[in-house]
Amino acid sequence: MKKRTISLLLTMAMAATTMAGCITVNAEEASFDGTIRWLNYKPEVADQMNDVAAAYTAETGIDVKVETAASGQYEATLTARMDSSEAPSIFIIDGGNMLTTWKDYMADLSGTELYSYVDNEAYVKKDGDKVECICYVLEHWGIIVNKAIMEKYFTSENKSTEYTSLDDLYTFDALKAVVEDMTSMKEELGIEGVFGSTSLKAGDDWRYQTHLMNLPTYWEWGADVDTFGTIPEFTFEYAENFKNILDLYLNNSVIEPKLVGTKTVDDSMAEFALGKCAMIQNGDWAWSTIANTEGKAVADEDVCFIPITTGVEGEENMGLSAATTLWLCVNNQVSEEEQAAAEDFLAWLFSSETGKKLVSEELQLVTPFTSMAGAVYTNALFASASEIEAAGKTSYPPICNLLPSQTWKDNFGANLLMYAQGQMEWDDVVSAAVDEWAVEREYTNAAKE
Amino acid sequence: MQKIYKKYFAVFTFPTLIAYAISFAIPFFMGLYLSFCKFKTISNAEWVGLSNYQFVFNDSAGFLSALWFTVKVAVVGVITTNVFAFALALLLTKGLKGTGVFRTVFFMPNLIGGIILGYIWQLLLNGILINLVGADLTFNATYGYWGIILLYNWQKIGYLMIIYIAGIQSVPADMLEAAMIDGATYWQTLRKIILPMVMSSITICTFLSLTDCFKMYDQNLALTGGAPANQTAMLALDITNTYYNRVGFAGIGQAKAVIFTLLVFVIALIQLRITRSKEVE
Repeated sequence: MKKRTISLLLTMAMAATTMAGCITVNAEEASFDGTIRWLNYKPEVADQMNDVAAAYTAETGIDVKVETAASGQYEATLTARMDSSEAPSIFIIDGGNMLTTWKDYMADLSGTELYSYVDNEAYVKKDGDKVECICYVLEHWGIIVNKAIMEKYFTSENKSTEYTSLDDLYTFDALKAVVEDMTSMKEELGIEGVFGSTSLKAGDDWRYQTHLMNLPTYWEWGADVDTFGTIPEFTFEYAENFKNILDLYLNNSVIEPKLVGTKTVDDSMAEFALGKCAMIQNGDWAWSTIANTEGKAVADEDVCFIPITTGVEGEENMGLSAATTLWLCVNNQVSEEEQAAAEDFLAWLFSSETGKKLVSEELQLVTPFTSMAGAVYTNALFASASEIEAAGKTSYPPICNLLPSQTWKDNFGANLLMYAQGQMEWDDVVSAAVDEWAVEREYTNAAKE
Repeated sequence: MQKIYKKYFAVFTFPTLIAYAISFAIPFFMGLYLSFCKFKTISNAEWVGLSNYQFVFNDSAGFLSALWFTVKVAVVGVITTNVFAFALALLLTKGLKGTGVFRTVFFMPNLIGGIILGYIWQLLLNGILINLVGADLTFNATYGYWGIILLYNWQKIGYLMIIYIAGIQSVPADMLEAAMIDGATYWQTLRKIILPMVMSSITICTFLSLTDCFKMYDQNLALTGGAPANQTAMLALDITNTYYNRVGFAGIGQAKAVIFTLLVFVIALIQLRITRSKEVE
C-alpha cells in the first residue's frame, strides 16, 4: 500500500513538472495575439505614450500596450519582462553598457523603413551589417533659465555685477558672481532662491550623479572617447570643478542644503514652473513637466538654456550636453509576425501624419529621422538648444554613458546627499567615487567581454 | 471511509500539488541552481560553482551590513509589536465600552499596503524631524531605523492583537474564577494562567512577526530606500539592488536570496521549537 502511495506521488510530481512545462510554452505562444508591447524608458511621457498606443489602435486595429518603467528601474524592469511571457516587442537601450548586455536580443533593423529615414550613420549602432539599434531621441541638458527673472536682475539698479545678459554667463566665474548677487536680492526678484532644490533623494538624484558627471568625465577623457566602448579608468581629476557647481546649486537654492534628501525632480521642476526660482539644472525633456504644472507662472517664451559651467579653462566655448540618449531595438525573441508588426508601428509613428504629430506635440521628441524634418515643436528648449549650437558652441558628447553601473551612480548620489547634509567631507566623496569606480569598472568591463 | 480517502486522494491533492510545484517548488529549485551560475536572463545561465557565495560572504558593505541591520530591526520589532499587541488585546477583552470599534480601528492599518504606508510615514516623520532637528529621514541611519520600527509596529500590532484576543478569549472562565476565589492578584492570574494558556498564540505571533521582519521589503523601500548610503537597507532590499543594479550580478543576487531563504527557514524553526516547548495542553 505504502509503495503505491509513493509511486502515485512520484507520478503526480512528474506530471506536475511536465504540465508546468506545457503551461509556460503555451503562454509564450498565446502572448502574441496582435499585441505590440513597448517598454517605455521615459516616465515623464507615460501618459502621452498611451495616447500614441491608442491612436495606432484606432487607426489600424492592432493592439499596442505601453508599459513604463519607473525612473532608474528600466534595466531591472526589462530584465524581469524579458523572462516573462509578456516580453516587450520594442525595447530601449541608453548606451554602451546596455548595448552589450542586450545584444543577443536585438533584431536586425537594416531592412526596415525606420532605418531608411536615418541619413547619418552616427545614429545607428551596427555589428557588421546588422543594424542593432536606431537612435530616436536627441536630448540636451544644461541650466534652464527663467528669462523674465534674469531680465529683472540685469536691469536692476541694485545689482553689483557688470554682467548684463545671459550671453555673459558662459564661464563659472560669471555665473557664480551673478547667482550669488541674485541670492542677496531675493526679495527684489521675487524668488525664494536662485536654483530650484537640488533633488538628492534616492532615485531622484540622476541630475547630479549622472548628468552633472558628464562635465568632469568630458574634461578628464576628452571628446574622442568611445561612449559605447569599455569603461576607462577614472581619477576624478576635475572633482574640484564638480564641487564648484554643486556648491553653487546647494548654497543658492530655495531650500536648506540639509533638506535636499526630501526633494524629488518633480518638486524642483514645480519650483521653477511656479517662478520660485530662476534656474534649474535639467534637460529639454523637462518641458512637459514645466508646461503641465498647475498654476505655472513662467511664460513659455521665457524658458531657455544656458550651459553648465564648472570653472575649467576653455569652457566659454562649450555649449550644452547633447546626447543621442535613447535607441530603439526590436526584440528578436518574439515571433516573426510580432517583430514585423513592431517595425510597421515604428515606421507609422515617425512618418505618418498622425504619428509625426504625436511625436512632435505629445512626446516632444527631437529625432534624427529625415521623415520628421519640418516638425514643429512647442518645446521652447529645443529652439534654445539649437540657438546655442548655431552660435558655434561645442556640445558635450554624452560621456556620462560611460559611468560604470547603476550601483556606482546610486552610491555616488547617496554620498553627494551626505555631503550636502554636511555629514561627509568632499575628499571622502571623491575618494569613494574613485575607489568604487575601479571596482564597478572591472565588473562592467568583464561583463562586456 | 479510509478507502474513499485513498481512492480520491489524488483528485483532491493534485490541483494543490500542481499549484505548489509551479509557484514554489520549481522556481525554488531553479533559483537554487541559478545561484551557482552567471546569468542575465534565466535562459542563458552559465555554471560558475561557488564563486557567487564566496563574493557574498566577503561583501561586508552590502549583504553582511544588511543582515546585521535586519537582525537589529527584527529583535526590537518582534518584541515591541508583540508586547504592544498583547497589551492591547488584554485591554480590549475587558469588556470596555467601544471595544468593537477600537478593535477595528487598530486592525485597519494592516489593510493598507506597505508601500503606501512607507510613503505616508515618510511624510509624517520628515515633517516631524525637520521641525524638531532640522533634518530628514535620510540624514541618519538611526532615524531610518526607528522609522522602520515605528512603521512596522503601527502596521502589525492590530493584526497580532486579533490573534491574541482570540487566545485570551479561549481561556476558560472557570479557571479565572477559581483563581479569583483562591485570592490570586491580577498579575498572578496573568502570569500563571493567561500567559501559559495563550502560549500557542504567542508562538504564532512571534513566528509571524519574526519572518515578517526578515522579509520586510516594501516598507523599507518606501520609507528610507536604504538612505543614507544603504545603511538602512534590509536583506530583501539589498538582494533586489544587487540583482538589478549591477551588470553581471544576477548570480550573486540569487546566491544572497538562497542564503536569505535558508536563514529565515532556520530561524523560524528554532523559534517554533522554543515557543512550542512552552505551550501547555
